[in-house]
Amino acid sequence: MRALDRLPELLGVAVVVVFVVCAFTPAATIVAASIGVPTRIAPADAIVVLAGGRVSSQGALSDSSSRRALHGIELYREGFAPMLVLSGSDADLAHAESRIRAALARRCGVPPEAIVTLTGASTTADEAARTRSLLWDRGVRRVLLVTDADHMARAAAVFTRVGFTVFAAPVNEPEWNLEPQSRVALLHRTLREAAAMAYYYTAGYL
Amino acid sequence: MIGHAALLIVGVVGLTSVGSYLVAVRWMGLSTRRLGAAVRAALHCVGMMTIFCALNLGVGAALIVGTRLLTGRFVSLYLLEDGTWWALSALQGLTWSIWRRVND
Repeated sequence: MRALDRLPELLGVAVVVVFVVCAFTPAATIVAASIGVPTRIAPADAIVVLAGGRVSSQGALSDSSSRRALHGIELYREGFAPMLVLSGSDADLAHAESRIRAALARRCGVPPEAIVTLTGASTTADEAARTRSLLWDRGVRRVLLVTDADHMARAAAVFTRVGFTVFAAPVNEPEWNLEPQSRVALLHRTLREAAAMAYYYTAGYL
Repeated sequence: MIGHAALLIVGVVGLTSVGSYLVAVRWMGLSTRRLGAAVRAALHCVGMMTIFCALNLGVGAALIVGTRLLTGRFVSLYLLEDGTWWALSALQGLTWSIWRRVND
């Protein structure tokens, strides 16, 4: 009982130490970089931009969704693939993420016939399965995958699992020169991804 | 490399810590010998906040996964991302820790 009583104190020490080390040293970046997938941009059959969060009631994409979409558009315009697949988690409504991204791509000069929208996927594993159903018959085997750097390891693994050869084109790669709050946020995202990876292994997605 | 924000935070927090220590000792007459016990009590609070956070997130995740399995309806695990979980867990941990202390 005495030992159990000391547990919160010891845990408190551990939390404070981890917090201080994380906030005031580049430890979070080292951890994030070590579990990340290295960028490998190469010609592919399609560029697949994964969903990046809900659209606002005004029809604005989230920061993450915008950055991913713009990176995908940039890669398309540089000629890395003849097809740009834009995913969105919402149903195919007027304010759906995939539709707004498609409109953005058209405004940036991507021809409509090169744009494929993917709607309704709820999870990364679901996106991989739906992408396969949508693209496999069109002969797509190699995909240039666009998502956040902290999400790439899990995303690349599930896309590889469904049969694609994946080239990673991450956005928001971990930076070294961060302020304390950004370092803590980076560690939070990295730990969340580690938990998600563990869940994917347990659930049999990987 | 320590950035400007980190330097400012460490400097200001250090300064207010020393200032409040002096106020406590010289004007309020608090015992310096009890400072160690106060730090331990604070660490106990932090630990309890962490335990409640893990408990809340664990139960939340189990409910979400259970709902998915039992109803086939998708509920996002990203619901566990809300900062309110941390705030309320902190409140639970703090209350628990103080409750235990006043009962000693």
